[in-house]
Amino acid sequence: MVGTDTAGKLKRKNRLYRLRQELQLHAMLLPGMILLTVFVIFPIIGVYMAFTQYRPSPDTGFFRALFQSRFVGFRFFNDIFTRPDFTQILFNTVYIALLKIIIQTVLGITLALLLNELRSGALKKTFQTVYFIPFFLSWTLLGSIVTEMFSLDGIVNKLFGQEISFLASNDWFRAILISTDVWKNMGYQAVYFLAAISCIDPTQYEAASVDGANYWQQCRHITLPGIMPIIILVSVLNIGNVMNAGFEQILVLYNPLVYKTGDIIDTVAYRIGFLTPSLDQYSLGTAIGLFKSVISCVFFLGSYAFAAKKLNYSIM
Amino acid sequence: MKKTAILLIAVMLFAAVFAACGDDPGEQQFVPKNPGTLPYGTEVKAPENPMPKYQPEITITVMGMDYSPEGDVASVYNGKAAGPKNQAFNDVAREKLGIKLEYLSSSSPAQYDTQLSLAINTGNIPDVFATSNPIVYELVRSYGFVTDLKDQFYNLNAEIQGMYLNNFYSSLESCMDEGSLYAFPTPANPYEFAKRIYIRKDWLDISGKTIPQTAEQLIDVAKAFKANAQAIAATQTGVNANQIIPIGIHKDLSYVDNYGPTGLFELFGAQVGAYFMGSDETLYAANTSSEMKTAVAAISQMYADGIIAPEFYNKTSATVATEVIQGKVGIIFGDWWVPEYPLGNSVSNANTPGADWVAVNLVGYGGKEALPIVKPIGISTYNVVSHACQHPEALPRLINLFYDMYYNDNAAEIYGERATQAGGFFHNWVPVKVWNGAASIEEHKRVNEVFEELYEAGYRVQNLAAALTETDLEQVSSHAVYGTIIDKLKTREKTLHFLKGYAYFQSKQFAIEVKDMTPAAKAGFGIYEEMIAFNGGYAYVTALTEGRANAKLNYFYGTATEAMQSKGEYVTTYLVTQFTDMIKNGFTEAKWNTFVENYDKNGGRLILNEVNGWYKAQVPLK
Repeated sequence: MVGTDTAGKLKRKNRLYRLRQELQLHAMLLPGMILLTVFVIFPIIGVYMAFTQYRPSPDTGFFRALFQSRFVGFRFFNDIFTRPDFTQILFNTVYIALLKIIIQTVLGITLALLLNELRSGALKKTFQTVYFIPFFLSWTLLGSIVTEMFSLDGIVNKLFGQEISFLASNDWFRAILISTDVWKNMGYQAVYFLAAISCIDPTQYEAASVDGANYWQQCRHITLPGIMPIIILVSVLNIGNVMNAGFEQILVLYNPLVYKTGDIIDTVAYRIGFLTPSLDQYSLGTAIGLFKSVISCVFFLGSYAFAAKKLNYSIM
Repeated sequence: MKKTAILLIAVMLFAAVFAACGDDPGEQQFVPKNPGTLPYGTEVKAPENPMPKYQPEITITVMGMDYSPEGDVASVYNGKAAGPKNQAFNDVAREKLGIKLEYLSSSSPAQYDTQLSLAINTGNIPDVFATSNPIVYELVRSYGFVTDLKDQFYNLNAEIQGMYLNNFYSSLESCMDEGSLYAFPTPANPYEFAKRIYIRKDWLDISGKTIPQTAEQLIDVAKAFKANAQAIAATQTGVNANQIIPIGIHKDLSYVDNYGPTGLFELFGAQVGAYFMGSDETLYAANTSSEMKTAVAAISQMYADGIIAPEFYNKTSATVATEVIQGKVGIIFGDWWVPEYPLGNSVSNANTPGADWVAVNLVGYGGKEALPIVKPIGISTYNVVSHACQHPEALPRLINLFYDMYYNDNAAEIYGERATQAGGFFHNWVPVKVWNGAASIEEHKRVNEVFEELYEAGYRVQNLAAALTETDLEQVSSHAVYGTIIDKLKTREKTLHFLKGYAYFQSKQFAIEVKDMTPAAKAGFGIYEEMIAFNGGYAYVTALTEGRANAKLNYFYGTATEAMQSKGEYVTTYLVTQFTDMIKNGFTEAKWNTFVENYDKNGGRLILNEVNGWYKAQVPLK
């Protein structure tokens, strides 16, 4: 018993000693923690709004008004979940986002590998810039270009001698969404992987080369394992975005004929706010946001757990 | 596994208890409204001095809207970029009223309501502010954010009081409750939203057609435009035959606006989102009515005939306006001001040399009369005072000042350069204001009469090739005969309508065809057809207002009911999806019946019940 007490005291003493030793480091963490608390942790209280019919009050502050508002339980969630098209909207959101994530990651890695093989520095930079430029263009501008390209008398129909209403076709709409989004963001993704490739020790390639490994073998046994932590990190972070299927892009490209395949949670939320401005927008908006966050969190934790268990990946 | 199962059950139980605690409001009940009366009833009690000066100066917080300067509005004021925070009105208010306007924020018109909502929710509400959103007004009124203005009504100048009490009492009454007045509404003449048909007359000539008298004839005209697309395109620059669009509409089938299908639906007596009076004295929804069924079936046939743009479902209102200016569209539907934009730009565009638009009142289908569909009352903005404001009388004083600077013909003498656009005065930047909803009708009549008189008296523009200038105005004003005639116009009307419109008016009198007009004359088309012409845009609004023409009423003019808020988006989206599908892919009875059944089942019926409940609770319109 005495031995245990002594051990405990020693442990505490040791911890205090370490804290004193690392005080400067902890102090450096403080501003970040304060910002995180003020802007991320504290506002979480606001999710309560999703369960109330929030009414601002002229005589009280925000929090008092929030907690004085009528409690309506899951009413706003019920409004969303009981929509006849809810399953379709949820499916569209996850399906479009997942495909974008998967294709973007795979093509981003491929592009990074290809760019890495370019020996001419100027050529490498040129291609990198060309692939990176679309990332900086807004969907407002790209939307007009894509609409023009895929219109009945647009370049795509002319090229293939067809007359297909691509943007009015439920067979084509998702494909257009995914391909144009991948084209826009692929260059940006490739930058992560290119940076990771450049960190691989070149002596590994030299050794492999001496051992007679060809390009594919080097790629499979050195490059891909070398950038695997970044691939997993990017994928896990992307999976957290699974409820964000690309609001701006869809808003500028969709039309009522393709709501069946292109309508997502964000576009519905936008129409709710825009078409029927309501006194309950705050509560409904919070309910939609909370729902998306919970699903995203589940996906994020699930993918991280999977990576940790199957691939021994850990952020710590 | 066991732990997970227990955890799941616990979460589900918690969720069930949580859900059960919430109270479901069910169908909204409406308490009959009692607006009451103002302290002096319908009597005007004008203040001795409508614009007394505060001594010492006070500060009033407001919010600004960042409209881009237009017309002659100076882009620089006091050596800095002009805008809501830096404009002549602020200086005049400080100098004449002793009110220093402090802007809490200044945002784009699209962002204004968001900024206002944010201000309300963070307790940073401006002392006085305006909103064009009836929901925001309803929010601030019902939550007690705004103060009672019944006593302040009598601080408005006599002209504004008279306008409310004599011309727009229903608008005022809609802001009253039990004798309290919560806003000074800016009344809008509801007939200003009446739709007309605008047709390219030069295309009619090419196609050998005359102005249509029925909807069937209008469809024939559109078909003739398609058949003669080759010949029509040859008269335009940079347009080929397959770009010719006989009837221009955009994708937003549920919006009541211009260049869209609103006017097209109205040919058949229907309007998306409207509620009409049935023979049993209850309201019925236009969305599922027999009129709408006929309209959708007919528009679907028009699409099949190729007289509506093949990809209308991808076009926005701005796209159609651009196509009009480019000379690709033959027929559009719109409000009275459409001749100014985009038709005016189309006429004066060098690429569309013969563009000659004519306006036609809506034409009926199947032997029936077509009427424009309007709401019985219109309010464009609500001017309110925060409950925390120490000086509620500042609002009527600011409104009086704006009214005087805008409508007083001697404003330039009283306020100097600062009452002119070039001097930094721009109505869109003024944070609170009230328009005279009846002024435009008077303006239309006055300008028309003056133009006729001037022409009869022999006044002729000497050089039609050049636009009229201030020098021309000075010469006319100093002339013994013409001077007395033109002095009947207000200063603004002289510089706007006379300088811009008289050359076009004279060209019409000379029977010069549009294609032969000079650019200066063509440039006057918009303002002439909009405000001056006997059969122009405002002439039609005037005829409707004075009862010389008829309109069909949409009886629902309230804010969104509970069911509209919870189900409205779904049923509207469903309607737009189904109508677009029926128009593009063909109309069938089965599709229509399925639409009506699903629409009613998923919220349409509930909304209609609430609309009828709301209607019964209203006071009769005056």
